[in-house]
Amino acid sequence: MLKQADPTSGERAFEAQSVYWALFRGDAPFILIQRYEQAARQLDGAANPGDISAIHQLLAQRADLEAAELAGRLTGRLPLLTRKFSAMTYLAETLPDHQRFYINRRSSLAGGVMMLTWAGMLTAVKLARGLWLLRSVRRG
Amino acid sequence: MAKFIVVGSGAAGVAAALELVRRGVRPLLLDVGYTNHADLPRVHGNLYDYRRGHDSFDLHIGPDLGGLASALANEPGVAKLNAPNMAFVTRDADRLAPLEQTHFQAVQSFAAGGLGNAWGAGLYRWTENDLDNFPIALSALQPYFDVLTREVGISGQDDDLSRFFGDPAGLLPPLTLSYNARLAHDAYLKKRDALQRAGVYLGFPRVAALSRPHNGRPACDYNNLEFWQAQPYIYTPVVTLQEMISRDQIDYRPGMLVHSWQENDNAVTVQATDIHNQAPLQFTGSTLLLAAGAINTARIALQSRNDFSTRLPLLENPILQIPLILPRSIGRRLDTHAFGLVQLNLVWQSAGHGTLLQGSLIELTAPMRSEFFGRFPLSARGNLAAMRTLLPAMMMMQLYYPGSAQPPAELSLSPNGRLRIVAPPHNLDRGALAPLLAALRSLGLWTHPALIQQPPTGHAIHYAGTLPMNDDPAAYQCDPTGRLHGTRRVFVADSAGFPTLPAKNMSFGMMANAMRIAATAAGS
Ligand SMILES: Cc1cc2nc3c(=O)[nH]c(=O)nc-3n(C[C@H](O)[C@H](O)[C@H](O)COP(=O)(O)OP(=O)(O)OC[C@H]3O[C@@H](n4cnc5c(N)ncnc54)[C@H](O)[C@@H]3O)c2cc1C
Repeated sequence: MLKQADPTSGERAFEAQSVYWALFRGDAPFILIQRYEQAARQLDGAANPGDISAIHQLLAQRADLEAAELAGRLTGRLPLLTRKFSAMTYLAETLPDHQRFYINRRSSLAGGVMMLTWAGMLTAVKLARGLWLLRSVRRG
Repeated sequence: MAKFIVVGSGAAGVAAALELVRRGVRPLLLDVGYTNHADLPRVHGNLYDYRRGHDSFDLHIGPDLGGLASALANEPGVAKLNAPNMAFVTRDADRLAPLEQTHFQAVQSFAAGGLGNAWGAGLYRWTENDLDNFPIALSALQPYFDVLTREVGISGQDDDLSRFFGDPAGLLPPLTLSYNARLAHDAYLKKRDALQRAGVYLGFPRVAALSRPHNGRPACDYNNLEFWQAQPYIYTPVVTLQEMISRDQIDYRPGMLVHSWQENDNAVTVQATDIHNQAPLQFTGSTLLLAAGAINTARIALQSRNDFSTRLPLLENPILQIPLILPRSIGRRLDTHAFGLVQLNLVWQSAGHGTLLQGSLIELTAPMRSEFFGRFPLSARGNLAAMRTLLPAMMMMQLYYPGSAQPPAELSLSPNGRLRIVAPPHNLDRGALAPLLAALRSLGLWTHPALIQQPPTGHAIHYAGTLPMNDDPAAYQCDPTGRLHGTRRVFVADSAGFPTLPAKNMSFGMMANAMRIAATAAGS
């Protein structure tokens, strides 16, 4: 389960943990949290305050960020969250022990088809939940 | 006094200088000339082996997060230019040559070797068809194509594309195809007659990446590092530049930002600034060859006349990016030993467009997988799954349209020193692509029209036509020898002089033309 981050490490570390959890279902390595914080600072600096506030609410509610990100991306409503997911995806890809999330090293057509079917079903569930979640956040 | 002054060390400037050197002249080459100072360890061996054993943050992203630039800005960027080792290619461009752009995204380089440091290295000879509206014949370029083919080392093969890519003489054997490219190529060979009846031709690219050692440089090692660090098997203009410097054949002066020229009866004087101490400097010569890239060559021409009212045309190839899926490869292991740039080319004689269109089929093994996050209409973990299982089954086709497929942009100089570039908003007609998409399907390459993207104008990075050649030139045009109207000693050696832009990577044509112009200037 997602753990509340060390209270001294601040809001962005908690955000980093939450985004990481939504993508990889685990605890984010410390180096990744640090790098993510740097990227998130840049993103927040240029973002619209409504989007920042919407993300704060989602984090405070311990909402399903994967669902919110998907609904935001497909409806064009929360680009900041997608950028944060994207930044985390890039940063994690540079870590040796994360290669298995990105690189397929064994060939299996059946495995591939099953994986894509799972991805489609997961997406349907997350989209329904995400659309509902986005209705509940206030942007201001 | 120098006899010849060349401005710029990109593909055009280096080719012009090479021709002068061949004629026994030692030109003065003025350049801003940034080089790569990123203090990064060089990766040896395979990209994916390296990533398994090392934190690749410095290689891919860098402490300033430059590698995340497009992701953080949420703007389509050119992934290769964001790599920490490529940052020098576009360094300081906004400061040295500020632009104000509408519906255009130009990429400018002030590096030694220019944009060629990051290029895809597709170097295609031109044919008569490509010279449509040029006031010169192909025979004027042929000898220079031959010289350059030997100098550069170009891989390829005499195949169905030779009729579009010119004489295959001197080509090195083609590079080994990736697994997916091989599937598509095999399918083409089986269905070739039907495809050709539909106007579709497929074959090997002409690429400046060595399939065997050449001129002291090694052959491609298929390690997927093309996006991340300079590769000795890929030719860039720096190869020739360094050779000419080490043999003392040119007087190379980096650190010089050229502003303008003034001409009198006997000489031309170039005004420049030393970028390190801002000191103004002058250089005098008998002939000036401008090769600062089509945009900056135009800037220098406008600055030389303090002209804030003229609007010059700016040509660019519109492009479409077409993601292609090979269903047979779904779930396959990633081809970690592939050449990470263009694998195959396709030429489409499109009846609907009334012209040739050129496609480059690119392997997706070199960029980071994360480049594709969010491109699949799936949840975040669904995207990760697709990156793992679908990307090894995908290629990207970059489809080039001729410059005439959309109205030219306009370029003018503002009194505040900015260049204004205004392009009309323009959408290519994707409906007309149906026959091409059907042909691709028959090759086992599937896509959906909704997945096709048109990047902003400027993303082909083929800028041209700002000072076009004309038999009867007017102001801001050149005569067929490249001499700028109203001058006696100023020649335009880069693609600024192109009156039109074919649907083809333009650099090889530009290099041959730069040599032709240098030869004429040296003879006159
Ligand atoms: C990612 C990428 C992929 C590409 N792939 C291909 C491909 O496969 N095939 C292809 O044909 N083309 C490709 N291109 C395009 C190709 O790189 C350019 O068209 C070509 O390099 C342009 O060369 P140039 O000499 O005209 O200008 P540039 O490369 O822009 O060089 C300009 C030179 O002039 C100097 N300069 C500029 N202004 C001044 C000034 N005021 N004072 C002093 N010096 C100045 C700069 O320092 C630089 O040395 C690609 C480009 C990129 C970025």
